Amino acid sequence: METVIGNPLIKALIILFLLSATTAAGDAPFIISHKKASLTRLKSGAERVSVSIDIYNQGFSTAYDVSLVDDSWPKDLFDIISGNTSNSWERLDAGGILSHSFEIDAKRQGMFHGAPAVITYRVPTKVSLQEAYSTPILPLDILAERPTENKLDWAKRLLAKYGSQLSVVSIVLLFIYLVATPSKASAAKASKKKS
Amino acid sequence: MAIKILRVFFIGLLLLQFPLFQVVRCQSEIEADVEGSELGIVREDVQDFVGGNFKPAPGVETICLFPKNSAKVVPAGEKTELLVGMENVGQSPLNIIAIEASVHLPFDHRMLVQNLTAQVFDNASVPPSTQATFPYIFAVSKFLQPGTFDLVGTVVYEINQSPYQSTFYNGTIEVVEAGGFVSVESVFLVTLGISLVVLLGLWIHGQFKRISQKTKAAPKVEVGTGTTDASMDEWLQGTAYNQSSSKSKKKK
Repeated sequence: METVIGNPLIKALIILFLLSATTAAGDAPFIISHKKASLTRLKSGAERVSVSIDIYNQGFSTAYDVSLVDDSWPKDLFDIISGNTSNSWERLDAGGILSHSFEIDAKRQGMFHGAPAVITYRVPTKVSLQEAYSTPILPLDILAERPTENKLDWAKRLLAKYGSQLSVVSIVLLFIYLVATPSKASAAKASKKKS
Repeated sequence: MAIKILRVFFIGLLLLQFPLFQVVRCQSEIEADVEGSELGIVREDVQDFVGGNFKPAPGVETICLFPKNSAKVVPAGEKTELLVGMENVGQSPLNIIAIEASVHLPFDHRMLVQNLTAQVFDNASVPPSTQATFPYIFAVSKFLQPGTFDLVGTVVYEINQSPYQSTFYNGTIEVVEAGGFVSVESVFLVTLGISLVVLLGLWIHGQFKRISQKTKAAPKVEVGTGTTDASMDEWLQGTAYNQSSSKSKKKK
């Protein structure tokens, strides 16, 4: 027994096993965050940006004191309408999801490149605050000139979208109508044959 | 009247389709198109990295997530999004160059079905000891048959000017047919089903009538188109027919 443990190879294997156990990624949270921004043109002419941020924990342990801060919307370009650009939660369990959304109004026209939102959280095994970044957003074209669609194009688009379904339904209804109602010509023929 | 309506309707249908006619063109390569794939200006040396085979870096962990799509359902021809999570455990920042993916047959990994368009990044970096998420939007060819396929996704990045590559997903996806509820096939099928049920109902109704009539007295036999008036048969006087009819009349 002593010779087995004393064997340097076995010692190395044990150390390696312990090391790998502690450095395995399988015992820490893995925060994935999805940031989405969509533009809506209001009737008043202003551009409203709806931002929604989803936070997923794809790791194997809980993340504590999860805090979301989205400072990528400068105050001179955007006005906050509803909600807050930051939020915090007590914990996010493994496999869980958190959502946060807010709305802002854009003041200036032009292309806007947004930076990712920053999420910070704590883990029991480490002292320092852990950081995670959300997905970046595609460049937003604020208050872009939209060419007005003329009626013909709009009609063509609707036709292309629903034309096949409409024609199928109408063919079927017409067939049923044909079958259900006897026509005058055929009724006359039938009476002729009888007499 | 109904035939006239039918004719007018079909001519109308034909005329309406004219602006939408498109000649079907054969595509030599079926490439998925990814809209808005570039998040910045493309680097000049991206072509050297994309398509190459590099080893993964030791201090990098990757994870893949299909947001709100745990069954990994991919409608053919429509955009699907997946999120790539990168964790930089090392000491130096890493720059993401591109994310690329390809679709393979499930039973034979060497059979490539489709190469999906790579998404290049210009200014995407992950600082040390942080996690970051990157989106990858792709669309499989809309002619791909529904079924299970293998998706292999890799992310190409560089640390200190050396390129590396990690596979973030090597598993199955479920390709389904994209389409609404009302389609040509579904409408025809539903109408066929309803008509079969109605026919069945009519046949059963007929069978019931027949069975119920059998229990009653024998049905009245029609004796021809005209009325059996004796005065009409005067030219049959003295013949066998007249004698037999008078006999039956007497019996009645």
